[in-house]
Amino acid sequence: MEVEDSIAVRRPERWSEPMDASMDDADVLWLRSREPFASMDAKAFPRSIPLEGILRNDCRIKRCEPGEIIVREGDYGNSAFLVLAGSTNVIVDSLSPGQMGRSSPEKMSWFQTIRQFLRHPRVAEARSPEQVTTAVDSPTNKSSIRQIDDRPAIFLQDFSVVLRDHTSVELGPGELFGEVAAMYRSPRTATVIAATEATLLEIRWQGLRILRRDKRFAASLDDHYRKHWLNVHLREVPLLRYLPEPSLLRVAEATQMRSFGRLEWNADYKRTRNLPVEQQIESEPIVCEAGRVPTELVIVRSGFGRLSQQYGASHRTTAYLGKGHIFGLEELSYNSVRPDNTPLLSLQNTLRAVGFLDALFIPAETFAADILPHVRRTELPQRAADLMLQSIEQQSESGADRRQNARDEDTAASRNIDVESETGQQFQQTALLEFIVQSRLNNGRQAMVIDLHRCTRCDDCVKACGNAHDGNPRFVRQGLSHDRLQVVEACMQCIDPVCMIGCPTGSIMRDEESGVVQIHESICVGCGTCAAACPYGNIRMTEVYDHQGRPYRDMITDMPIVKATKCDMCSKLPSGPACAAACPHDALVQIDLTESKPLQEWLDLRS
Amino acid sequence: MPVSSFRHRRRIAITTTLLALLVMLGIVWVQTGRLADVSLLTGATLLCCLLLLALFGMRRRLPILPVGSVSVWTQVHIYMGFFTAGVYWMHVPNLIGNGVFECSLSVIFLLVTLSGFYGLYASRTLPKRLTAVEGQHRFDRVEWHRGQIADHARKLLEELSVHVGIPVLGSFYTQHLSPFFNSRPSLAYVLVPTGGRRRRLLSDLKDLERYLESEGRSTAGRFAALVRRRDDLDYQFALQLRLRLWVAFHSILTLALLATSLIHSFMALRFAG
Amino acid sequence: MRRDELRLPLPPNNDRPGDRWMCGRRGGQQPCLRGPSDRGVCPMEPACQVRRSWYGRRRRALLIATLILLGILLFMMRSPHQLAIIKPGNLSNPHAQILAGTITSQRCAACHPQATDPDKTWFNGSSEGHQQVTQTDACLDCHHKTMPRSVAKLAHNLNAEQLAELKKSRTRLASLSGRSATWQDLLPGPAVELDNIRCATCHREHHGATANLLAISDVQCQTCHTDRFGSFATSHPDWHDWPYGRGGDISFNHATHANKYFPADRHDGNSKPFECGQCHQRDAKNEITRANSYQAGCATCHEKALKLETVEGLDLLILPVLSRESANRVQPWPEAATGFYDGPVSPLTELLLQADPVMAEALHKIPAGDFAGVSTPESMEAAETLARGIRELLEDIGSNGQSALIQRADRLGLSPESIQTLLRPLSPQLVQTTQQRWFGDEDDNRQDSLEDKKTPLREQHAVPQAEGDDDLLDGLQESDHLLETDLSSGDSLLGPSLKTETDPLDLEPLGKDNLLESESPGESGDDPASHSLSGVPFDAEKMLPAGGWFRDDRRMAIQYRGTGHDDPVLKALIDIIRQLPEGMPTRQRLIQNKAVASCITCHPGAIRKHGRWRSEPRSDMGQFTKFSHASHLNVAELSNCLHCHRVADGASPALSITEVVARAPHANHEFLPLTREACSGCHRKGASGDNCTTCHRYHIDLPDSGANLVPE
Repeated sequence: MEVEDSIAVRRPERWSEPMDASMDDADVLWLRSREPFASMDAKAFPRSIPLEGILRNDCRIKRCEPGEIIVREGDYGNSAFLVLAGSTNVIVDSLSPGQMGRSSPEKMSWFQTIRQFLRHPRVAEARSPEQVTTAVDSPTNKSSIRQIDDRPAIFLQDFSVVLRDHTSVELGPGELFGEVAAMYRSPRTATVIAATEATLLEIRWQGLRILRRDKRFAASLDDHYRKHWLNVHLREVPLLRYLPEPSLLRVAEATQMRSFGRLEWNADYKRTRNLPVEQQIESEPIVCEAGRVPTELVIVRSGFGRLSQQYGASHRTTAYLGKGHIFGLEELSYNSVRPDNTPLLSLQNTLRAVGFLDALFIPAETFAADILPHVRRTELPQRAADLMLQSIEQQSESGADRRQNARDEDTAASRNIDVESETGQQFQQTALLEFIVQSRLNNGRQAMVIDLHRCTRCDDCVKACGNAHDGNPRFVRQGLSHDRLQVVEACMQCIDPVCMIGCPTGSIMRDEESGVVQIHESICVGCGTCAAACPYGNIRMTEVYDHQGRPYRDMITDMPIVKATKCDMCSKLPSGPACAAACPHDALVQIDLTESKPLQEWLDLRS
Repeated sequence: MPVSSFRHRRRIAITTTLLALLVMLGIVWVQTGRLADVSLLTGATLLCCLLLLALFGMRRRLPILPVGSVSVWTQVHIYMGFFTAGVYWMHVPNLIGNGVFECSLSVIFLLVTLSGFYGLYASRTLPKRLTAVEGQHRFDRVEWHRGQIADHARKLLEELSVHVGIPVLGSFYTQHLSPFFNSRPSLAYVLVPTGGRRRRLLSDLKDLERYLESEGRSTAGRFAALVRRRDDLDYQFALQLRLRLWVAFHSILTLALLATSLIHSFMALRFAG
Repeated sequence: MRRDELRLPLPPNNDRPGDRWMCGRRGGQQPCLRGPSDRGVCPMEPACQVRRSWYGRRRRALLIATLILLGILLFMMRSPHQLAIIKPGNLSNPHAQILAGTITSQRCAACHPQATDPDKTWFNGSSEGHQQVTQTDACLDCHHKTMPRSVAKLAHNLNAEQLAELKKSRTRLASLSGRSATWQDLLPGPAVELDNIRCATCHREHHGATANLLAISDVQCQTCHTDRFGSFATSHPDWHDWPYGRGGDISFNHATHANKYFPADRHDGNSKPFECGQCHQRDAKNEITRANSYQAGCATCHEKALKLETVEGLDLLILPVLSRESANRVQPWPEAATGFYDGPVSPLTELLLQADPVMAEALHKIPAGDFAGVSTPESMEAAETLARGIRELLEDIGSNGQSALIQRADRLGLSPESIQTLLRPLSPQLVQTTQQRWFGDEDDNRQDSLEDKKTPLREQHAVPQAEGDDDLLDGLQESDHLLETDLSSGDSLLGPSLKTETDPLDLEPLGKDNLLESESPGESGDDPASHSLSGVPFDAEKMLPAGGWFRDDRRMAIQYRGTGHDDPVLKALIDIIRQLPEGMPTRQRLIQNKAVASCITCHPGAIRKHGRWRSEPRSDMGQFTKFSHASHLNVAELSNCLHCHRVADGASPALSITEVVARAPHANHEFLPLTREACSGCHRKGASGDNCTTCHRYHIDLPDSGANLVPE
């Protein structure tokens, strides 16, 4: 139509949307006068992103009243908090959702749904002006109980009682929290509440990442992690849950933290995705190699690992690891309890970092001394458990039954499921496993999978998606397929959402409640970083038009305004994802591929 | 309903349907016995079933309402379809009605029912055949793919630099390949997709190889790959078209069925007694 | 492998399958990001040729289909053949033929009152004026002849009271057994009101030309019935006496005939063995006749005995014997009837005297109606009164003729018809003569001149009987009564002077009188009188072989002599007896009369119902159960009657006539009960069928309606 008829608007820029517009020079100066910023070397920062700029634009001073929940366990946060004054408490135990005032995201009512359905937009990708550019991105904090300054805050009822009943760690001025979840894009591990009136500095993870350029700050972060979080993280590992406090402390003391691969693994993946499997496996950094005698127990903290075994000339994937999974348990526990005259068991699998792997390493001696005695025998790998049993028998009477070993193979299948999932996700078919790891689909928490044996290719799912999004489908029914499965090119709401790396305005962010990665279009500058970052190509950049079909154009560059679009899990719809609901043949599902169980069950359903 | 597998679900659904049919048969038997107006009863049931079945079409067009997933509706639709066919059998004195209107009504009903049964069969078997063929093409983009393949073939010929191959491949292209790449598949192929066309072209291409040198051979090989890809595309097209035509046929006839059955019920009520 | 080298680009990933149009760029051209507008216009330069997406094509097809459908419906609504189109199915042939002549627009309305003008009333609700008319009314417009409107909608055409009565008495039901509980009892009751059943409830039309409109299932039959059962063979209620004991008109003891008189093992050559078919022959319709004629079946053996029995006949009156004193008091009284009290009062006399209360009382006082028992003064007085009454009766008949008797019968409330038949052969002149003869002698001594003159006059009459001039008298016949009175008056006038029969003046009227007597049906009562008069002793056996009224001077009685079978007077008499109240002693005595008894023994029906002399072919109308021998006789096995109807061995005891009359007709018969098994052997599923309607009919008590309804 009328190509020249366009609307001039201003393209958003980095820091054009500061985290807190009320931050002024005085605040920055005051911050610079306090630790840790006082001792930071401003020269360590690039000129384009000065320390002051970070403090002004990526930080915000937040005043909290006693009892206010600052971060909630399980949330995906994008920022870390530095306590400036007052005290906050980290609650180590889990709080009930009700205590934290959690509520599901606001759904559209039936009436609104029908109205949206009936309102057939005649123009594709039509937006009203405020959807395109208005800077207003009011934090949609649910169930706000009290208004603090100009923001709603959620308070914990009877927080003093809660503090008394739950184990908590107090954090005072100068201490940082929330940085682990922010940095490693993992959900918050604990709930933090303000114990007294407190002043916090909230730092966006974009800012925090740059702040790490200061070596002291980075070291203090690590130190801080070890001091305050390692215990908690170790405690979260199911294997260690029965450890007494002294043992745990000793374990924490001995634990090493190491990272493999690049945090921005997606850039590499673009290169390696088309490589043959064997080459790709070769290119992955080795964490532990098979055949070596294990020296450490590996607990994956974030990222992914691939277990493989030499098979013929290449490696065959046997399992993949994700957050919380353990490597080397069987070998270590066997070695610890084996009789002295038998050979050591060496590692059976090679562990490689698929893209990026962050792991905790516990030395074998510590494991043998402080962990193994407190592990339930049923949770141990069968081989070690049998061995333990044998050694007990041998102590009582000589001449143990050797046939025990023969039974290992039989009972291997009936292993405890919990432990199995801890030591890696497996599928009956190696090919499927390879396919998932190769395509990095194990990243997907809500991967859209189609059963091609039932899909009649009717495109009802795409139509439904269009209906749910003003006529604009947010995915295309195409994608990688393996056997009868097709993984559709729709956002998987990854467990490691690499698309969020590099978003200059924080327009793309994870919904704290549902974990759905959402794009707030009004502050999307259309830079395409997220679309480029998504290893699966599931974010699409689209030109936007107004409801009359006129394209929006930047008033300065005259370039069309482009927005990133992707699946938002229909979080506003009362029906949930429209595509899965619209499939007439049970062919489409949104499924968590970080674990093998859901997919395996889904496949079993249709066997 | 905890369902451990689709097979289990099917068993439950079939049992339920059979039970419902038996109950209905019992009611009809008793009602016939007590000289009640059974056709009114079965007719009303039939109409309700038809409306509920047709509501499935509405549900498919209203995907964003939280009224149960469409797959659940499909299951209900399928088994209610069986149930309705059974009730129809109880309702009518003979399978095809006598009068002009009644005859058309019953023919439409039977067509809808049979197309429904065919659809059930097709939607359970054709996807596997589709999956077996490489390339999961989207139906609306088939035309685009055809164009791509045709263009690619033309470019292949244009890029041919060795003069020896040009006349050989050129004449073959104009005679056989160009018509194949640039036209839609024949109706016969769409109805019954067979591999004959593909085999013929591939063997002809293979026969050409002895006239060609290595580059020409490589081009011929690429042509063969394009032929295979185009044939796969047409195969996908034919099967997907079949699936889609069935849905369209079924739903359009449903409209006619609804209209005629409403008129029929209106007349039946009006002329009763 | 070569295939892997091909790098074809992926198609654009901006699918919008919900849109009607899609970008038409294909092949080498790069599709635009935006796609065509919703009106199918390409926004780019140069514009591409947009294509319809599948959704768009489908929408278009849907639109076209909807338009076609609407067109067809519209055509249907407006078509002149509209009614033919909406007709849901063919009518059965008879209905279709009737409607073939009707103009198309009224065909539906013929049976569907609400369809008078479907074009308009379709959407106007029910039209006025037709609201009360139902389809059943329309049915009855044609069928009212076979199905009276008043009962058409009633269950079994019986109203509620009749149904209740039926249920209570079960008189119409052959099965009288108790209820048996079956699971069918649990089924719900009928969905129809028993007094408002639409025809269409059972008779369903539009099911094709050859559809059976009468089809009804067993379950449907039983839905109203309190006692429901499964199949005929297993649970139909038992019957005990069916089809026997349903009031046959002729009594015939099959047992004695079969076992005693015509036993199969009797080979003396005199009698044929008992053969059912001899009497129960087949008629034109191959149906079994109910009885044989008397002449063919019974006369051979029974004629003689019957003659003997009827010859004794019946007395009109008998003069009882009075004692001398009484006779003197009664004067005149014939000498012949004077002596000791004796002689019965004829029951007929009793009947005729009954009308007079004085006589009735007197009759009451005579013990057992026989003068022999008269002993007390009281009874003597009654006997005298009675004797006078008898005499007066005689005089009355003598003077007033049959009218006197008719009048008396009238007073008793008897039908004149039977009385007339009874009296027709009785000549008043016989009575006159008798009167003169019996009382005439004494007349001379008495003052009564009338009586005096009558006797010679009457005696003279008999002689010229043969010489009567018919031609001469013909014209005067109608004034018969007049002449008679003339005559009597003439008698009184001329009597003393004209004592000879040669008197020419007298001849004329006398001859006329004679003629009148001879003309009356039956035999002239004068003949014996004249004969006796002429000295020849009257022998009834010889002189009255054809039967008739005559005077028995010996017994001092006027008596009827029967002629054997089919005697009209006896028949009339029995009809009169029928009309008498039961328990009346006179009735009992009449019945015990030998001649009467001989009739009733075989014709017990006649004493119950008028004219029940013949065993008519019984109509099944009014019965729930229907049966036809004809179809059964086609089965070889069944052609032997004894297969079903087996005669009991033991002969039933002979009954006195009073027992015969008192007993219900055919209350016990000589047949063994017909069991259900006899029927269910063939009447079961897969054989001859065990539908209710095989043996039962729904519409009962209708004027001959079954014939055209029941298919052959």
